[in-house]
Amino acid sequence: MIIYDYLIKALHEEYEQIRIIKESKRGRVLLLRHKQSKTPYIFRHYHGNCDVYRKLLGISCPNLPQIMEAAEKDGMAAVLEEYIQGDSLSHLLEGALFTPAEARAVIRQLCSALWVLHSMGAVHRDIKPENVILRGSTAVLIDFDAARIFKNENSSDTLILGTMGYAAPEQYGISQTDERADIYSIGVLLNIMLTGKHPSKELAGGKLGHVVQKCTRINPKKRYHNVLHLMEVL
Amino acid sequence: MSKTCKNCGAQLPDEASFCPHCTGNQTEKTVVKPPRLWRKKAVTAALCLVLIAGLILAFVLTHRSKTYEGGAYLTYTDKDGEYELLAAFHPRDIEANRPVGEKSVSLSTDEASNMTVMLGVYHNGEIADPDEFFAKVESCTLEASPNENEALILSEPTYNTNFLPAARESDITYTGASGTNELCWTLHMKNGDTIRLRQTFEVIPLVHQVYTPEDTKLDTLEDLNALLARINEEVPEDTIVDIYLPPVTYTGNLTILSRAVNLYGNTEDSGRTVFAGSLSVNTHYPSNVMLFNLDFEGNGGIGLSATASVYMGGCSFTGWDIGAVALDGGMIGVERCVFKYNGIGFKYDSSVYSSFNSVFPDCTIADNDIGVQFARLQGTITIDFLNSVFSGNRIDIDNQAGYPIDTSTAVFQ
Repeated sequence: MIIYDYLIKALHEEYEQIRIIKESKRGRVLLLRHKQSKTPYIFRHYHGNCDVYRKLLGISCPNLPQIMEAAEKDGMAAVLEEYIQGDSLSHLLEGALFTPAEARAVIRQLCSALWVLHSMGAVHRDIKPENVILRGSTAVLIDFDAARIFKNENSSDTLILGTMGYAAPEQYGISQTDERADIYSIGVLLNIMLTGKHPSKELAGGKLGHVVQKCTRINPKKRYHNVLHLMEVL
Repeated sequence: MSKTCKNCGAQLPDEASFCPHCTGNQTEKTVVKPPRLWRKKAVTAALCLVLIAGLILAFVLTHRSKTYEGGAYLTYTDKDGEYELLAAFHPRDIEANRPVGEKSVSLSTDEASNMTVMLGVYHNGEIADPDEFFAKVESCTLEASPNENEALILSEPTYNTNFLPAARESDITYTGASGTNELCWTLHMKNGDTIRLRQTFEVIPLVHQVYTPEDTKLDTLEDLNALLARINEEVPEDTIVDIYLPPVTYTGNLTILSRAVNLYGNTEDSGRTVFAGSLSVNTHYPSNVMLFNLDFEGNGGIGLSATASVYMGGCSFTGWDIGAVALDGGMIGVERCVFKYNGIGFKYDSSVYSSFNSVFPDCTIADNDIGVQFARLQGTITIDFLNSVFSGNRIDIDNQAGYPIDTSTAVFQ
């Protein structure tokens, strides 16, 4: 609680708001800049917990943004994280599709990011082009607002989270969400990168098409068991 | 708040990970990476190893040295295509692409003789350029493996234009005791391949039947003709007949027909054996007619005419229109012979022959109108008048046929 207040106060006093990146009923995402150093940061302020962000505090991974601080108070979460300078995948997809080699490279890096999350017992649950930033040739997975720590004893998730089309069926309450939900989303993302369309509309061809198929099986047990398996295939 | 910023010293909450004042991190960040993709890497490595092993195996299989074993014929394939290699004993067989794997000859056990053996190469159905093919050959050897008997003497295989279109030729020296030898041509190719062709050369030892004045009446031409008739009737074909003649003069013409015999003139002090009439040789078995130490003394006409193979040594021809003439089918080999006071001492008038003598050594060709005349003679084997002496002839050598001859060691007086 102390750190939440301390962070909000410091951000208010020593940081300037550049712009609002995202705003919803759940909360806001702001681009701030440290007045003195001019370093930009992303500030997430939303209803919910920040368990996943807190777990990432001590972690450094090139495919994940660095989390500077994460705090909660009264059901509100405040997260300060590294601002990733680059183009979002959604922006890039407006221009052109990815070649199989390019798509494979991006997906492999996203798998690395997911492996970090999954190894912490977290599921991202909102993998989509808008949440992938390409910093040069490095793909960075952002926005863990929908992420949660999965617990095997839960019969199902209490909230429907994720983005339509990218979210796995189990995220809509069919069953407990686990890391295989992210694999489903990765499969959809891969297909979008290659074809511009959801796999149900047009499945990518070749070997990667088979990968997409396996990633997006309705039954999670028939998907790749984990991202390492998926990376192996890729 | 008991925690102070490591960077700026500002007071921070105890659980702070970040100093919002100076933006300094307060906790050590652990760099995490997914574990090594051992399985994929292992599979990839295994596949690579299998691939490399496969490539090596394929390379070895396609580039390994091969051994080609054949009889007198085999096909050999390299990057330039297929070659046919054949072994034979005569250029005409090479020319006809007719491999000859076996050859039998007959010879007296106390005699030595020569034979040629050769190798031909065809490429794309045509006679191959020997230089082109042998540029790929590291070594070419010919070896003889005797079956019980003594080994043949073989000359090193060489390219010999006298035996075209053969690409390599070797001379075999054999005796009547050589028996059966397996000849093995071995070609070691520069690419590591080995080619072997095999032939069999058999020498059948000949039995001699000898007639001497002591045991046979040989005083007149009639006696001689009677003996020849008896020999034709009684003596097996593969028996060599040696007739030693007394020091007499045979008058009248003699024909040695069908069956070859050898005539030996007398060399004792009691005098020489003289033929005052013509001798015609027209035989076809078993081998050459040999004439030694006979004097042919005529008065016009032809001293010796041959339509078969004749070899003579130490003989003389005087007073003939033509001393000796080799006609079609015939070849006369001479050595230490004298041709004197003839119209033509020695005449080649043959385009077909079954044997050939390339040396005309140690002869005396003197006081003839024409010493040696090449009216007709086909072939490319140079005849060498080795140490022969020409003197007093109107024309020493009349080479109408333009036959290749070598007189570099001959003496012209």
